[in-house]
Amino acid sequence: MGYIGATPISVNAGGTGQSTLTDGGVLVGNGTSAITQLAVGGNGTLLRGTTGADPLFSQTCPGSFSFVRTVSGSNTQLSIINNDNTSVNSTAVLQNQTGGTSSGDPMIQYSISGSTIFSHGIDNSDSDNLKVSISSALGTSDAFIITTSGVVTFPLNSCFLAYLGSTDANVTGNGASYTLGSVTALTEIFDLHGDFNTNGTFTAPVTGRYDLRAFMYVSDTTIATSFVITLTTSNRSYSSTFSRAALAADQSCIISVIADMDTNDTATVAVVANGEAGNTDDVSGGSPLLTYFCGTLAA
Amino acid sequence: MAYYGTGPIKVADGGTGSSSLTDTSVLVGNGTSAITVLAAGVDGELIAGRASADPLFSTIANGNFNFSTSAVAAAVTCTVENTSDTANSNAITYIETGGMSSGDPKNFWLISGSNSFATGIDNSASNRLVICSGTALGTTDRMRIETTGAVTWPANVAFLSFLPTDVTNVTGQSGTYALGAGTALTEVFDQGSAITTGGTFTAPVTGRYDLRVNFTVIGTTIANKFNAALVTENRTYISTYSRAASNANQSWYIDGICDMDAADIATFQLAVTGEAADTDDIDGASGTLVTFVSGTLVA
Repeated sequence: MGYIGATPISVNAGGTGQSTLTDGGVLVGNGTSAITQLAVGGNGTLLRGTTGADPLFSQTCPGSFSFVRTVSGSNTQLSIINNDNTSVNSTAVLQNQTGGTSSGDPMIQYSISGSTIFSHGIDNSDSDNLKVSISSALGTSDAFIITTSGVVTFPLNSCFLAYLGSTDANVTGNGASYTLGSVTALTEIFDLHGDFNTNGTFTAPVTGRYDLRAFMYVSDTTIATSFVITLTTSNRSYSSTFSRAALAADQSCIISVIADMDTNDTATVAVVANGEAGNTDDVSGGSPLLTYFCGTLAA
Repeated sequence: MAYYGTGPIKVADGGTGSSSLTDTSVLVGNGTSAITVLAAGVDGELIAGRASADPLFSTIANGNFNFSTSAVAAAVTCTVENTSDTANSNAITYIETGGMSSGDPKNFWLISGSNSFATGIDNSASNRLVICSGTALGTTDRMRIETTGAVTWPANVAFLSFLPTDVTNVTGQSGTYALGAGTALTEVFDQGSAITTGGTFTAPVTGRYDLRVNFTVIGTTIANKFNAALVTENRTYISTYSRAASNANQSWYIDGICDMDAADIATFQLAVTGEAADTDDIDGASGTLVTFVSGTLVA
C-alpha cells in the first residue's frame, strides 16, 4: 500500500517535501522546508562549501586546499592530464596567479619537512623576475634569476675575481716560483659563494667544471727570457710558457682552462721567470688590474 | 491528506528518519537509520570522501587527485589564484614530503609516450634542487642548485682534452698543425660527447660556445711567429705572437665565445713560421698539461 496524500510528505514528518528528486542531484537540508536539490554537477566540477549558503558544484574553490596523506613508499600526487593527442593546443597547465602588480608572488614551493625549502616563481616585487630561491620567500637567497628580457644570473653560484693590490717586488727572475697571494694578500672584488681565500687559494664547493683564468704581470725585468705560468689544481696542473729575447720589458702571462675539480679541491696560480741574474723581477699589482685570478662554476 | 504518524517516517518506510534537515547541509545515507546531515561547508572547502566514513567538507583530502580529460585544442588547467592585489598575497602550489628519510617533493612534466622533465628537491642527494629528464630526480639531472647556491649543469656541453705526448716535426716553416692530428687527444671529461680524440668539436645545438686552446711548441731553432687559429664553420679566429728568432719553447693560445649552429664543427690549429723547415714539435704531457683544449656551452 503506498502513500496516497495530495502533497509530498513534509520534512518535519520525515519526508523530503519533494515530489521528485533530480537524477544525479545532491540533496541538501533546508531546515523543516523541503530539501534542496542542487543542480547536477558538470564534468570537471567539485562540490564546494559556501559559508551560509548551499554548497554548489564548481570549478573554483575560494580558498586553499591540500592533498595530504602519510603513506610509506608511495607518492601523494596531484595530476593534471589532458589525454588528447590530436592538437598542439591540447595542453595541461598548472597556473599560479596573483592579483596584480601590488600583490604577492605566484610560485611553487618544494619542501622537505623540517629541512630544506626551495621556492620557484615570479618575484612581483623585483621586476617580475623568475627565480629559484633557497627559502620560502622569493627574493631571499635567490640562486637563479631570469629577467623578463631573458638575462640569466646565478647570484649565489661559485664565482670570484681577486687581484693583487700592490706590487710584490723581487719574487722571480732566476727560477723562483711566485705563487699569487703568497706575499701580499689579494683583494677580492667579488666572491659570490665564499670559495676564494685572499692567500690565492680557490676551493671548489662542489664537483664540477670550473672556468679558471689567471693573468700575471711581470715587471722590472732586465734580461728575462722566459715566463711560465702554472695553474695547479688538485686533479692536474696547466702550464703556459712565454719566451722572448732578453729584454727589459714588462710581460703578461696568461692561463685559461675549463678544469675538472672535485668537492674541496683547490686551485692556485704561480709564475716563474727565468733569464735574470737573480730573482729581481716583480709581479705588478694595482688598479687597473694587472695581476688577477678569476673563475666560475661553469658546468 | 497529511501524515499523522508519531514520529518522522523511517528510512525503512521511505522517509528520511529526521524531522528537520539542517539548512545548507548535504544529506548522506546511513543504512536504515535516519539520514546523516553533514556539517555545512564553508568557503574554501570541498567535500572529501573518506573510506568507511561519511564524506565531509574540508580543506584537506587524504589522497591523490587527478584533473584528467581529453580536451581537444584546449587546456586542462589547475589554477591557484589569489585575486588580492596587496603585498604578501601570494598564490602558492606547495609540495612537501615527510622529512629527511622520505621521498622527493617534485613536479614533473610528461608528454604521454614521449619525454618528461621533473623539478624538485632530491632528498637523497644533499637536498639540492634538480631539473632532470625523466621523472626520477638523480638519474638524468640537467641542472642542480645546491642548498648553498652553487649551480651545475651535469649534462651540458663541457670538455677538456689534452695532448698526452709530443707530436714531432709538424710545423715551423709552412706546416699547420691541427690539434689531434697524428696523436689522439686524451679526454679528461666530455659532457655531451661533443669532441673527438681527433680534435674535432661538434656543436650539439645552436648556441654560443666558450672555446679555448693552449699550444706549447718545443724544438724550435729560429721560430719567430706563432699563429693560433680557432676554426668554426661560421668564422675563423686568429691570434698571433711574434718574437725575435729564438730556440726557446713557446706557448700560445686563442679563445672566444663563438656562435655555432647545430652540427657545426670547430678545430684548433697552430702554424709556426721562421724555421727552414717544419721541424718544430708540439709539446704533449700528462702530468702538467701544456697543450690542451677546453670549452663549454654558455648561452
